Amino acid sequence: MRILVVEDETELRELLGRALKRQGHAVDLAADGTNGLHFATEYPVDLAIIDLGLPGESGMEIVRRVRERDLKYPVLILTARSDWQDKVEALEIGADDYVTKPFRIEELMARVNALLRRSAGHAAPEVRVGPLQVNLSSQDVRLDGETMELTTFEYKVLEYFMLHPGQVVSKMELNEHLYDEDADPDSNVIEVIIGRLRRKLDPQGDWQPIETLRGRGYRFRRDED
Amino acid sequence: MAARNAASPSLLVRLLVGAGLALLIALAAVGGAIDRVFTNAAEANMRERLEAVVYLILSTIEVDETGQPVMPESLAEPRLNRPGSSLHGGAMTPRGEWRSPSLVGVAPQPNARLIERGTELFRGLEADGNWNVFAIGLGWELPDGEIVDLTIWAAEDPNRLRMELAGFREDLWRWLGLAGVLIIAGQVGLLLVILRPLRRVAAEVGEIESGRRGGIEGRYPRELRPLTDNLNALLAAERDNARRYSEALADLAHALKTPVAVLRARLESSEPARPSDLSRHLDDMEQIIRRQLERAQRSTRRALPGAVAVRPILERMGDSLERLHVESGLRVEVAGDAGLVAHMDERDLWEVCGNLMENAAKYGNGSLRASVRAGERGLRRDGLIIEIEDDGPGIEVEQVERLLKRGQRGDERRDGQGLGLSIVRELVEANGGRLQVDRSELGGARFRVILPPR
Repeated sequence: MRILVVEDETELRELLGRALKRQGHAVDLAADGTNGLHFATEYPVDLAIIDLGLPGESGMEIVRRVRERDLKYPVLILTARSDWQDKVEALEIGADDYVTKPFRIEELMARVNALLRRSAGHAAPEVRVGPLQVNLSSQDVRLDGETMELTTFEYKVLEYFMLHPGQVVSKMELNEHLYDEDADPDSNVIEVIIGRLRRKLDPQGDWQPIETLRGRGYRFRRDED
Repeated sequence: MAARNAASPSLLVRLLVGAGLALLIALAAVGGAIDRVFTNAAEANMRERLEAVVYLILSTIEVDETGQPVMPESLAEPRLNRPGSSLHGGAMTPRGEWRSPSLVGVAPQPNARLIERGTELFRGLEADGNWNVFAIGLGWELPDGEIVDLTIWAAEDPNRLRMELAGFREDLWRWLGLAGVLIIAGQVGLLLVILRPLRRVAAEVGEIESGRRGGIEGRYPRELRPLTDNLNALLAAERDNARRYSEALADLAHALKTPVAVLRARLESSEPARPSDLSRHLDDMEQIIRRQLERAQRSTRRALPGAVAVRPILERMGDSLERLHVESGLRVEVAGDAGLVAHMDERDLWEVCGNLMENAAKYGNGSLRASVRAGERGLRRDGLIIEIEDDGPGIEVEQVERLLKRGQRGDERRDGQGLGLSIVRELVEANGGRLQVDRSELGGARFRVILPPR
């Protein structure tokens, strides 16, 4: 997933960036409101973490402009404890959740995952498709009840499919949402990862969960397919 | 102090200048009116006098056969006969003239002329330095039947009227001036009595400044009560702020002692310190500093906060919480009169309601009730009760005591419900209220914020 972090405190911003990358997300970092607004409205963002007290455009303004443009991705705001009025106002104009500073990084990651899951329409962290069982919260993947080992990128591709059930996902989309802007990956990498995922998820070749749609991309089977 | 005095004159001076000016205008108007009435009366009086002379002359005068006016005997008005007096008279026909003996040696002589039969002439104050004159024109039938014009006149030296008026004016203004002085003196006395409570307040404030007094204690007129009460509130808030600051500083110093000691021990020990270990301690210190700074910030508040409507805050919080907890199906019920207001800092009120409602949403099982109602009746304003209830497991008595315990130091508190509640309690108490916890009809905990009447 591609996650935007708008935070003016350098250390916190870098810390969040590292933690999110460790989880396999692509991360865009903005240090002020003006850049933040640019990223938030021009980039294919899946979730934004926005500090309310920012230099330049305020965090509140970014949330407002994002929703004005009908962008529907989840927004998580960061505030100080005593800013209840701001928190409520931000939620009223379209933020989805808040985390109060100071926070533990694990807490924030849990909220991020829950928001991503909820925005894909999953109420529970557990997603089942055929023999496959993915826990989007603990990142635990089981096939026929057996725990599977996946690399970070294999998991991120699988997670992207789980969060976009039944949708056609193009290679370009996977690139944009799973890699940082400056990573410039060879599009061949996606094909290699898809190939490895297919072999791992369907060793016998009788389920075939990932369809290839020529010229359009891939589609992950739905449960009822 | 001197500069302030120069910029803003004292109340006494303002009142005196104001009242003095008003009095001056009023006295001038009164004086002017009296002067006019008197002048008119004096003029009418003079006219009467001159008329009497004219008729006196008319009753005595003869015109001989040549048409010459003749005065056969001396007149009954002695001033007409005494040379040098101020009253004169005369009669004239086209053929001759008689003038009263009083005009002997007077220069310049009145310039008499004939006026038309049947008319009168009067020249009063408008004479302006000339003679004041009254004259009548009539016809006199001579023995041969011829009728000649006869004009009888009386004149008075204008200085007489002028002196009369000057004397009156001097008296008038002297008395009016005396009245003005008496009125102003009375006013000064009255003002000194009225301003005495203000001077007493100033004296008490001076004593507060020098530390001999804690607040305004004396009994004051009703009009001054808001001032003295609010001054006392201001003083209390300031003392409170100062105490909280020093407490926060003491807490900060105390809280930092341990991690600093540990860090020093690590650095001084022979074993090399592990960076991750040190960074954990630094994280702790950072947390402590942040928390204490936040607390110190919270501790400054306005002494006389405005009125904040409570229900809209409960409603907005409720809506937000319902959206946040949409998966667990949280239902928030808000009750209470929309017009009820809390007299406390708006940020504090948000913080109190926000923390209590967030806890209720977190620890309840999907039902939350937030309500506001009027509390005890007060003289100036009633108290207020805000209740936040949930249907969770509730809170045990020992737990309440632990969570709300007084004197617990900031560094011993950890994030989570404990910190939230101790902040709520601190804020409620800083605004003069108290926080109670018991069991709700919903089955869970009921937090009650009670703001006292005033």
